[in-house]
Amino acid sequence: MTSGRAGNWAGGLIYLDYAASAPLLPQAAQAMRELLCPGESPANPASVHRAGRQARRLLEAARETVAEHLGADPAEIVFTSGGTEADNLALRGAAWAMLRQQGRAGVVVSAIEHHAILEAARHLAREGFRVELACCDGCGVVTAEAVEQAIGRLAADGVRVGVVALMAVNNEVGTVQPVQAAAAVAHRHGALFLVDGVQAAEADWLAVQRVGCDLLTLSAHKFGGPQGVGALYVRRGVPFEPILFGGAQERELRPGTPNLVGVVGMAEALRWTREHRQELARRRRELDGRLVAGLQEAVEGLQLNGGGAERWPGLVNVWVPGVSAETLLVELDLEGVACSAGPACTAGSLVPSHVLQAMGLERERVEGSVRLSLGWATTADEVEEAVVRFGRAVQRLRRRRQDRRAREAVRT
Amino acid sequence: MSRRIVVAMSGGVDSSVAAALLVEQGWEVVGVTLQVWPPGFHPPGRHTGCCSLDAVDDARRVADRLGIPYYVFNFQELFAEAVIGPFTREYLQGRTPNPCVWCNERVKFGALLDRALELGAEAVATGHYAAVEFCPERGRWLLKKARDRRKDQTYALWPLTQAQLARVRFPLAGYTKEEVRALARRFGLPVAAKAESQEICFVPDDYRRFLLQTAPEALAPGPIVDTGGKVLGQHPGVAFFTVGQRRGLGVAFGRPMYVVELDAASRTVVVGGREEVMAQGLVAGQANWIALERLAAPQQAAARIRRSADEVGCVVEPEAAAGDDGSRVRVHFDSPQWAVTPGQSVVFYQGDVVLGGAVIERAVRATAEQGARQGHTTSARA
Repeated sequence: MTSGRAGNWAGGLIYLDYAASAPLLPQAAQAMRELLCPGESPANPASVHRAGRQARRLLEAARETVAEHLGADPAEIVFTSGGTEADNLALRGAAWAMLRQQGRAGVVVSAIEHHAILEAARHLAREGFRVELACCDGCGVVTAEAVEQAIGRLAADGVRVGVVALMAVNNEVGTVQPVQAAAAVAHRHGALFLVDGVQAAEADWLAVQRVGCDLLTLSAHKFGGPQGVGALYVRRGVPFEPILFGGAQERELRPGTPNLVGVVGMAEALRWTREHRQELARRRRELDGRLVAGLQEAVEGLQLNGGGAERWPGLVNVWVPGVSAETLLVELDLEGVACSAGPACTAGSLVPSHVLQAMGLERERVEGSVRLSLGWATTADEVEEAVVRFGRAVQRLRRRRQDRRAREAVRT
Repeated sequence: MSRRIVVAMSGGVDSSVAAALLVEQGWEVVGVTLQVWPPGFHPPGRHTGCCSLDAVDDARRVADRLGIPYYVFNFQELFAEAVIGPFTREYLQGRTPNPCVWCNERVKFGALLDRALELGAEAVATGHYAAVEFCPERGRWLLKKARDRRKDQTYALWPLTQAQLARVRFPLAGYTKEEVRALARRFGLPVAAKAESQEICFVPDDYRRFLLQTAPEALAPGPIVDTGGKVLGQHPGVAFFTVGQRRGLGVAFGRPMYVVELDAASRTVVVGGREEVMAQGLVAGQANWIALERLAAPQQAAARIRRSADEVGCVVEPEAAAGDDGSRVRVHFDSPQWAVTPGQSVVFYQGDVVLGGAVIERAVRATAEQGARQGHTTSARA
């Protein structure tokens, strides 16, 4: 039986699903291992005693690392249980505070946000907020004009916008979003601007001053940290309130004893990523080029989704005409390539991607597209082998489908 | 490379043991659960039974135990179109459907089989209690009863074509339920002690509530009449009744009265005494023949007219009425049968062998009686 491991699996599985979860960086693993000593794991950072102070030091050191990475002040960083909690806290915390303090009941989120934002927005709508979606174009980009229009629709009904949310890089098609321009629009209308930066932690432009955002979210396991830990940047002084209630941790914005081991792992992964940023970016660009070119060569008719826009290298979404994504994923898994296609439902089956749908792609294309994503541990050899296996898998599927059609034709 | 086979896993004991047996036989087994419920369609709070979330969790655990790959396929749209939609429509038309039959025909041995072949598998296997074998004399694939007669599920498998049967495996054919439970324990399967689920997978206890939720137009009140046409009362909608039903008529008749017939067009529920629910025969359509290429001449057979009914000796013959496409049959029972129900399947057996099956269109009763009720006798397939 296999262990559920991302990265270089025993058994020859090539892992190209970094956008779902990236393998743990050795540096992060080591930093956490040092804290996981039987009988002397970290104390509560809120405790008065020496052990508590030691834990607190580790927590604050991690906070500084995250803050430095984002160009923020450590006091502006809140640790969470992951990207979803960070997104929920950011959107709900800002929306409610803007309503209570400024009477702003409008929320604008882009149509291609992660479900952590979309579903949180839907919940706000149920609570009485007016939620407008900013549409994306056929390339998978939400323009500043689209944001402006969504705000305009609110204004037409006399509703003032309180929060605008737009992700930095789309997690399904990899399109880079014009967050700076959108931030300017949001601010012109007096709204807070939230950036889901989960898929773009490596980007050198993801500094809060440069983006001009008031809120920004990260998730550790997307860049080689552990699962179950994330961070939220909240610009000092902006209207904001917690969504969970309890102790006074995290400046009363997120009660609960922090996951110190996870936080340390995240900080270490972020520190390493920051140190190797240029090399990582160069490799991602290079491997992305090989992957896209290789797939286009190996698979007749294959098309890149979101190809018309600026794309985050290493996150590749392709349409394979004539096969269903669900079947292709299984064939690839059996062949030894791990990738994905759109979000899964609770049971684990695929549901059609809301992002590809929002891009206006025809149904056949939505249901025949898969995502491959690579990262820090991916090698050129792996990419080449993955391309070969991908080509083989598609060929087999297409041939079997043809055989079936032929059989059916004979029968009728 | 070993031969690949896809096993439909419901998370229950039967399909789990079927998968384990195939692993033991050396197949390269791929476990699959079908996700058939569209979001919001599932009766709230119900997570047990076939294809539910609990079922997926159980199936996943079994697959892990067996060390086989496991996937959940999204067949929501097909299921809605091929099973849920017709299920509702049939009730609205005063018939009583067998949704499991459609699910087998279109979903498990339709779309799933196609998917399996696309993945390079030779066949789809399930935990059905039934047997398939090739008969060289007839040159046909035969569907036969399972060794465990009490559990036999051939009743819901009659629409399978020769092409489908050639690609179907039923590993439990030779086992009794007790043996299957013992096997589950021997294989160390985490579902060995699970309770039996006999419900239709998407109607937990009461199909009427399901209809009210999904098809409010089922509320279409009309008259309750006796077989002479005399109005006895009112009913909320023919969809809420089934032939042979006694309870829920909301009228005290002074003697036991049963639903004899449902006429959706005139929104009429016809009731009668016990003897009036009996029928001497039936007419059925959409026939599929398994052991025969076609029904050329009258055949002696044993007919089962609903899942829980005993078999009855009969003669089945082609219905030769003008305009028929040859898929309609007429059945004469050796002895009158209780509650012949339009929409239900009638399946024909000769010994262990399934001859074929069809969908009941109407009951055939004594001629005099039929003449008297002409006004209500549905010509079923409008």
